[in-house]
Amino acid sequence: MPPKINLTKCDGCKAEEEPLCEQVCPGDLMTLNEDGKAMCRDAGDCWDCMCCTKICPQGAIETRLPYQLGYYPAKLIPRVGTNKIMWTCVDINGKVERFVVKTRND
Amino acid sequence: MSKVGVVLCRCNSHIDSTIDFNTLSEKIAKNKNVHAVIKVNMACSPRGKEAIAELAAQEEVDRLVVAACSPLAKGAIFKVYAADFHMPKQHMEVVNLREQCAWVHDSESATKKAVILLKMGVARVAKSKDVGNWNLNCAHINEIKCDKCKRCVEECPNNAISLREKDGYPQVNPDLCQKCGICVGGCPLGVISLPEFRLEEISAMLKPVAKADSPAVVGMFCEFAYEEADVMGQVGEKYSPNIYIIKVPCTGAVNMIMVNDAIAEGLDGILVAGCNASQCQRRKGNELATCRIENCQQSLEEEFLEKERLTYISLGEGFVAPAGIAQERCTGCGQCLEVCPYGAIQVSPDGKYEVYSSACRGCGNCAGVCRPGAIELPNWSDEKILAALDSILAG
Repeated sequence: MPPKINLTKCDGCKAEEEPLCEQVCPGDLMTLNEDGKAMCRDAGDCWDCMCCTKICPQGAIETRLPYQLGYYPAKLIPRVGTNKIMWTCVDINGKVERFVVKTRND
Repeated sequence: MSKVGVVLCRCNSHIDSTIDFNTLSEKIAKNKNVHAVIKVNMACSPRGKEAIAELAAQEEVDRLVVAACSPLAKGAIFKVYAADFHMPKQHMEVVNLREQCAWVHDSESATKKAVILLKMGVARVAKSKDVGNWNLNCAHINEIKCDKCKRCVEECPNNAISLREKDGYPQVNPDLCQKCGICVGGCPLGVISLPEFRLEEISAMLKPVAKADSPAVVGMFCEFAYEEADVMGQVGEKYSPNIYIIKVPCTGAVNMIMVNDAIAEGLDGILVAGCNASQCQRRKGNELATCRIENCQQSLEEEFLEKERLTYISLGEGFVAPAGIAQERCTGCGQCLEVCPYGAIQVSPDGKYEVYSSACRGCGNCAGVCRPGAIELPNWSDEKILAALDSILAG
């Protein structure tokens, strides 16, 4: 399932030619539309790596979980810190779980 | 492993009358980074300096934490000590045990808070880095991690950051940089740091707070709000001991990465305090901060966390008396219009120069540049300044 972009939050990284989501996307799917907001070129090719969701400085991108994992209300939201990521995992029944994963040793 | 020397200042029993120094030194000595703890009476006196010099001369000690009064009161002196001991100034941290602990809390909670504050200070110096050759007094961009998103170029209020033609990386002009830290707060990758303000240090400081009694709230106070918090101590106004205040150069320097760290660490709240809406002394730090905070609050709600956990409050100096132009002396040269950094001076339709009072932040640039002397700040008139000079010279 493709990344979903909150157009009010996205500032197109100040409309520079290459926003952060475009830089990190391993499939080179993200780009800016005519309004200078991020968009996904080809939803079918997205493999849900969540790189763009993690890097977005405005927190404007949400990755919809694929239906095999959970239907719409289910969510997986990262919150990236200096040396750890906190994941908020919401299942279809609304049960919230949080995990803190260390990403760097220092 | 860094070896930190901790200096506890009694401050003529201002501090140790409230805080139990024995418990404090026992608890802090257990910290794995701490090498030695000493107690002195007045750390700012020559005798205090001798004691600190002795501690710093010990071979193992390479960083110092001085727990004394507010860094705005005697902090500058301790930074000079660091230079005297040939220690990089980043390796010296002043912990505010007087204004924001001993004077505002009762004995038991003040001691508890002092332990946490000291641990925060130790965690900070343990993470601090000798910046050595980038000891230029300006922001530093780690080009290895920078991916040229240009956000810092867009957000810098002083236009101090520009792109290098050769390879397109941003570079900081040390002459223009005012170390406000707005670029630090805006960088999505967290690769910009100031000599004395690095994301890693601040994140390390959050860890001890998480172990404090609930609710543990960390305060990110801009220099002006920090001063206000000190004033609370000076007038002896008590407040809740659950807040642990970290001084940041400007609220714009609060990166959401820090907030994410704080929440992941398990803190109950983050309070960002800065100046009133149009009164930011760094020009647009608080606008950017409120914007980022609103965004972050929305994401918090999506994650089923209360948005009140991250709150912006405006303290600061409140209303600044705006500059006034004496129309009979004004020659209409337009110099003030040129120098006003806030665009607060306007020309009215009939050709008069006027100060737009809600935009004026009382910096006094216009008063300095006005040749006929038509502009004056109400609280900083020439007579007042000259009279103050006279009394200093006479004394």
